[in-house]
Amino acid sequence: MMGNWKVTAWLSSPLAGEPPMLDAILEWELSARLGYKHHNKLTRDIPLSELQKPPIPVSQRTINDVDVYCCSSPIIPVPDSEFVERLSKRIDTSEVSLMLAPENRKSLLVASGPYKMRYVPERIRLVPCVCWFIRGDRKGINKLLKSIYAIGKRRNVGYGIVNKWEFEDMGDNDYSIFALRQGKKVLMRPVHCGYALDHVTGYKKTYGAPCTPYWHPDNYMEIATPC
Amino acid sequence: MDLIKNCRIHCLSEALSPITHMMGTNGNEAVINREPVLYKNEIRQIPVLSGNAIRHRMVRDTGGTYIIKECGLYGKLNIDQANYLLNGGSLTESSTNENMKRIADMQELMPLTRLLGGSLRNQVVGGSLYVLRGLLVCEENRNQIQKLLPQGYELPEQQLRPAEDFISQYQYTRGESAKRNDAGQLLAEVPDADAKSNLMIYNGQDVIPGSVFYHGFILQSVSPLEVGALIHALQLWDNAGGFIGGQSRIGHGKMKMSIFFENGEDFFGNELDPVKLVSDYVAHIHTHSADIANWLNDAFPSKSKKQEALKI
Repeated sequence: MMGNWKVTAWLSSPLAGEPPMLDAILEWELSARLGYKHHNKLTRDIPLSELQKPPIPVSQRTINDVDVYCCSSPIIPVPDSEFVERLSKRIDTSEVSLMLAPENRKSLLVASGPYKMRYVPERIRLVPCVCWFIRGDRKGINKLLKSIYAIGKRRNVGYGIVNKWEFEDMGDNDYSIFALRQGKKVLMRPVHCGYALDHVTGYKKTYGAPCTPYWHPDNYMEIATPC
Repeated sequence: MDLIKNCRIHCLSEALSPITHMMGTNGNEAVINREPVLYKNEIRQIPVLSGNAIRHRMVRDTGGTYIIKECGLYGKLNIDQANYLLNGGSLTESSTNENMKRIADMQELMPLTRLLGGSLRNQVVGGSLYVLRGLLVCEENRNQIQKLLPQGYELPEQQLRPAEDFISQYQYTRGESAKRNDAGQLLAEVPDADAKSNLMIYNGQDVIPGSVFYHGFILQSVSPLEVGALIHALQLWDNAGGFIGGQSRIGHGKMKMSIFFENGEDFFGNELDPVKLVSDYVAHIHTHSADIANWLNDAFPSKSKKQEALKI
């Protein structure tokens, strides 16, 4: 049954990078379950017109001629702490040397190129939760979120581990795209710039994608994002 | 390939020697890796084992080395093959083509690489393993650990020790041959008495022996062979001494691990036996060792082979 929900991901480890859009997570998970071959292997070179979108249980609205899901941008509380973690990677030449065939034992450039040693900084925030406002089918969304164990970047090394997904009924209050604050409409998610933003506050204009996949250049246009 | 439900592996590792998993230096002192934890509305800096270190030392390094030895590839690899198996590889060519057959072959032949993911020369392949960071079992981490433990498992009710109780200091001296008593006999030319000395005292923080770390692994939509590959890698790490962090050359970082297996069942609800999972994985690698070597030579040909192919 369609309804307005506040979805909260309670975290049991700090969050790396930026919190993700919930509609993107749902699309990714459903593509995996439906066995879409582009689920893992979608690149910038593949035109989106060739692809089928997975039918996630979230309402859609057309804002300034672009269809967007009724799902707000992620909202996080003020972090309890914020720090930089460095992730390192290097070829241990002392370990590898004897494994190589004698003709392959050569000097290796590790200051640049494919074997460059890395010591990459990553922004980490200690936040207890991330939440989104969404209009959709709770049961369907919950089914998909059940197998999402972690969110954000660097999930493979233990960041953004989700302890519990929680739903709160918002009744008739749909805050997924616009919310009301002191009688004024406030933007809650990225949308295409245009007439629908008249009398709306709380956004900045930029260039990016208003709909999933948010990183794909085919979706890039002038957009308004919450700020 | 048979898929099983997602499963979790929980581990408790006890430090048998000082743990020196460092994050940098403060003056002349090496500082242990810590992260902020909210405890009673205050931020405390608590020692932690990074997921990156656990993933490499416990899984990729041991599992990759096993494949290399079992397939008879020791001393026969090229640098790209070694880089792929032991470090996850690097993207070195433009990714205009996605060779699905190559990925499928890789995932079938080497369950460990499907688990960990990695980069072929022109395509990045995602993994299915989430490694949890190593959390020190202390009062400050109680809430976090409790959330990660499986249902029905509780930490003891009595207050745990605070993290600072587990932190100590070490100090060593690096000798210099010129300062030895028998330097006159050893060296052809003994330096002047007022020459600059290289004798060095170095020190740092460590986590004391006896402390316990909780860590774990989440496996998403994996096959029994992949679970077997992970448990096998963990066993190899444990059998090889179970070292993590720095200074292992002088005995630091030795741990003893115990494993708890959660949700280890297939889609029909049949419980999976970890011992059988490991033996199946070992048998799989043994059976496919020639195919694995062929796949590696195909995916990462050495330069001479590439040139031969171009001539043809």
